[in-house]
Amino acid sequence: MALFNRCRKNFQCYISNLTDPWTNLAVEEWLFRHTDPSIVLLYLWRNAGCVVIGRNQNPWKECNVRLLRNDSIPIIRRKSGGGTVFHDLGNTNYTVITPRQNFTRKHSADLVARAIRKRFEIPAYVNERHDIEIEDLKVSGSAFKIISARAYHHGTMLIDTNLSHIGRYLEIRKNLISKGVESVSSPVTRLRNYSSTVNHESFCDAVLQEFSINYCGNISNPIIVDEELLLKIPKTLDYRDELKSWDWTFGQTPEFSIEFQKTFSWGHVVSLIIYCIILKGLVFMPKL
Amino acid sequence: MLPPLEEQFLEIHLETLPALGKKFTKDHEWIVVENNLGTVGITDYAQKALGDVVFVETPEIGTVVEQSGACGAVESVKAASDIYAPVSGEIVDVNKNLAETPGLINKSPETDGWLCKIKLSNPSELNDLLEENDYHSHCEKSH
Repeated sequence: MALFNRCRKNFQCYISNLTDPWTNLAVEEWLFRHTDPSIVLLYLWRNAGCVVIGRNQNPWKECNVRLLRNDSIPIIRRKSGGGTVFHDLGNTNYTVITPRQNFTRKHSADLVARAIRKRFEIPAYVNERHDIEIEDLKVSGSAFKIISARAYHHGTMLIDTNLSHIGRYLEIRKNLISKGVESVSSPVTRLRNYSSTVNHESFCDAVLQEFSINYCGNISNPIIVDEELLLKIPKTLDYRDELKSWDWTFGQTPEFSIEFQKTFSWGHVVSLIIYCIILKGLVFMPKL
Repeated sequence: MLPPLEEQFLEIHLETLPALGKKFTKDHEWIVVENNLGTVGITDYAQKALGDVVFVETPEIGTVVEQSGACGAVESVKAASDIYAPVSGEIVDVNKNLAETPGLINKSPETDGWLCKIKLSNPSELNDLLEENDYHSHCEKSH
């Protein structure tokens, strides 16, 4: 059966073949800021192993920075809010970009859950936090960004991620008090635990179908994001450089303090609080 | 002895003049200007749409902003949302209380939850903004 692309030009899907996390986020930023705001975009992408923190989070609080460096797993700060997630090739990300006045947290998550139910017969549903769950276990978390003319909802989908990595790399440090945003942990599962046919390609196909039927009534052809397309949108290099910089990744950390305690043999507990702000580098001040 | 009638009239007129009223942008920021210094924040409509605010990114003091340029951001449980400068000028003060109590934006978005103060470089830009009635009509249309 031939697929017709008679879609009214109000919807377009992009699927990335690239797995560099900074490039994929740079492409997302470019799609968000440099395409026609009246068109709804669906962007599907996945990253090689990395940890992604929210815009206003503290990497030292949310993950084991030293271990990640030893294991050569990069930390990336994204532009949207929300918490910390672990990405690998078993996790697929979806971004839905809409005009600002159409922004709703529920709609896109509903479509993704419906795609999973219809294609793979997995009983996925959206909970009150707009996460997607299966039997009280989380498979997808979401974050959102709003600017003047547009908004986006992006989310993860654990297809067959190595779940042990989540526990290994994401560990909340209790003695670090951050003025930023803290993650909310949830027990997780993967789609692969419920279906042997689900993978990145079939998930993308199912979500694309559900979205394009919803927005245009029939199937839309996706645009593939690859190295060739990147050459035509050099602005993505600027976004990539910004995302990769120390200033953005670590320098944007909100003020925080670290508490150290030591119990001496005579039973006296001494507590020292170091107050930290990052200006042109890390600045430490003892709090008196 | 009462002052001449004209003077009485002028006094009454000055007293009943509204304070240079709040003006609004279509993106749901407000500004109140006194002595060329504008206090800026987001509106009650915006804070309701955002939900509980968990973090406020205030602009840096000394930054020069352009009208409609980015001027900080607010993260709520619902979304991270950019804030736009209603007018051009220099940021001369930010609300330090927001670092400890970001929820001020939800509790008093149009008074104690102010975001920053701008020294206006082009006061005529105020004419581009909406009066209160027009802003409320704009909000109703967006629903």
